[in-house]
Amino acid sequence: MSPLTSTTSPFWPTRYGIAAAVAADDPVTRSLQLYGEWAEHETILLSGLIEEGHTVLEFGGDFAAHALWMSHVVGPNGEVHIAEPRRIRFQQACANVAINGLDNVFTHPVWLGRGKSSAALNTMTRTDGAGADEKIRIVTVDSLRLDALHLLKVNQPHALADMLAGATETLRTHRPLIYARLSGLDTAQAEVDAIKALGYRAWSHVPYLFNNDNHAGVETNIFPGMVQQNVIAAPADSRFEFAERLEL
Amino acid sequence: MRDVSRMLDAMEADTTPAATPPVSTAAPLLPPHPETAIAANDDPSMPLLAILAIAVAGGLVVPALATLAWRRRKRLSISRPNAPSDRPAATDPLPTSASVTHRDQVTLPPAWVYRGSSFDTPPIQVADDPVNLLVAPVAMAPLARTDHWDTCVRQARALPRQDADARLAHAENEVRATLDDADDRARPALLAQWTRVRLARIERFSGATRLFAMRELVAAIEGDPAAADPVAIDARIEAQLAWASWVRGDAAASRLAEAERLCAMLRGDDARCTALALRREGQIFLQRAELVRGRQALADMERAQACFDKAHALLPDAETALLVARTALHRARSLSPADAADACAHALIHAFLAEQETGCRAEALACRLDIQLVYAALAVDDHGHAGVTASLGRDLEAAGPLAPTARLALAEACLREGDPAKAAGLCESIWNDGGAQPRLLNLWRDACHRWSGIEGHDRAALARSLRLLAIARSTL
Repeated sequence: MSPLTSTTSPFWPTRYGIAAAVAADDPVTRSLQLYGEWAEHETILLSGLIEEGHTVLEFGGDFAAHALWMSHVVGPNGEVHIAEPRRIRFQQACANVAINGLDNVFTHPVWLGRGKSSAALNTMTRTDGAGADEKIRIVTVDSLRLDALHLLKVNQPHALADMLAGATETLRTHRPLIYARLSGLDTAQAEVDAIKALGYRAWSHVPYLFNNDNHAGVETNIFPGMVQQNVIAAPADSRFEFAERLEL
Repeated sequence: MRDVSRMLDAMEADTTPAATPPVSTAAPLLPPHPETAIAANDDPSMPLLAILAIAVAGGLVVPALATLAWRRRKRLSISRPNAPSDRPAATDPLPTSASVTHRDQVTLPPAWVYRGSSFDTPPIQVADDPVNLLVAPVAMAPLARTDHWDTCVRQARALPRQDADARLAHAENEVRATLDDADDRARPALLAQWTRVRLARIERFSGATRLFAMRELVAAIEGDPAAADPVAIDARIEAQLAWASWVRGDAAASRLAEAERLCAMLRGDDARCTALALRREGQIFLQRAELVRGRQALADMERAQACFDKAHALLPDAETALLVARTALHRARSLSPADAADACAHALIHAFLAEQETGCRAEALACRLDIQLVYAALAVDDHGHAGVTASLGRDLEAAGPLAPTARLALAEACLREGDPAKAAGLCESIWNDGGAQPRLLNLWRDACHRWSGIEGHDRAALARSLRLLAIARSTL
């Protein structure tokens, strides 16, 4: 199968649905365009953890690339909540949710932090280019008042510690699994410590960005050797055990 | 003289009630006819000389007969093993006394006809297969499915990915077409086959794609009219167990609960169904043990062991014997040394039994090697263990292409036997096949460490192995 081209079609057929074509200026869109999927190795792990009827909260929408499959996994009795603070990305995620008819996906144009406030985007995370100084709204996870939460998925870098601080009541009540992308060398230890301080056990998950078995069947690896430094965490008193993974 | 000989034969013949009918044809063995006796005793005209003559003659005949009988008995006792032609074979029907003592037959000349018997010397030199006296023969009733589509699935698993996909897709279409045209009698078996072929395809999917495919598969089977047949139920349990192995925590527990419900449906009056249900229950407990830790895991393993033991008692086939052995070995790793030794013994017996079946030989050998490694670790000294381990390792290598578990056991044996380079190579091959469990990585690390201590080792090969090990550890 040949790589997908954005210039000829307004839509990209992906593994779990249709995605509206956008400028391929970051790894997510490049992967969606070329391979028809994004971070499939994350999907491989997480699809063994969530079930029908579950509720998932994802911070950092990634153009709803993962919301497409999570919506089908949790089914009509489950819910997928996406929090995406960046305006254009939020709108693109909403477009993908709408054109795929995902009734059980709820989108929130907010940054999930430790309190209710607002700030410029570039003061919250390392970003540049257009919209870097855009003002964003900050709320806490607890303020979303979710009826249930089984998985908390954090894609947004430099957000984990503050987000957990604003989610103490939700975490205490629902004890969800946490899957997060670590932000980098300087903050990784603090982020893992923040998770463990909540009574969680944490294991490493280092998925390659390139998937040999990608949806488009493209053999070219545009992410050679590139991995994500992720963490999967479960309440210490739960039945989850990732014996084959490196515990942090 | 021959007549006397035949009479003595008759006397020596089996006189048990079953063999000797209560017929008066055995004349020589019976007392004289009453009329004859009375006539002899009551005749007053019989001269004294005649009586004396009879007495003398009787006195000569009786010792002569006794002597003849003794000599014959002695001759028979010497010549019997070498005389297959004049005596019926032990496997032939036993002759009745009537057949040789009937008056008409007694007078007939003997017909010396050669009759073949099991004691005959074979015309060519035959070397019997060696018999393993340590292992009792078991009734092998393999539950392994050996039909066309199962063979296809097994072959596909050994092919490169794209070829395998094409082969499995073709097989699925073929069995689906047959299933669509099948009558009610053939439908359950075909439904089970379709389930297994489809499952083989689904296991090659990943992530959510696999999850969705499993949901579709389960829904499709449940809607089929043949879904309640034991054959189909067994395939449904297999699907649930596979699904449970791909998910975690509560999702896995849900799948196992469903498999347990199906097991209850599978149980029946038939011993085979009951044995099958017990095997499946054992597998459920084993998978449950992986979801928990410590004592709870050990308790689940013991339940699994009990199920497999019962299943093996009901239907002693090689696959169940191997399940018993593996479970006992698995338990041995979690038990105290004294209990672990007992578990190893239990495992070893059943691994031996499984080894008798050609199809299970390699896996059984790998299990034996694993048992040996655990047992050697329990022993106070290494006396005698090294030789056994090396021998088992050689047997295993000779058994052909090995599964990752077998290669892992072999790698451990190689490391123990002082061949760390080979151990590291085996670990690398397992990792290439997708294995990345802590035991493998620790073994690989130890192998590289020992390898580096060997004088004149291949530095480039070691550096390459270390690099791959680092990648394996960092991408957990």
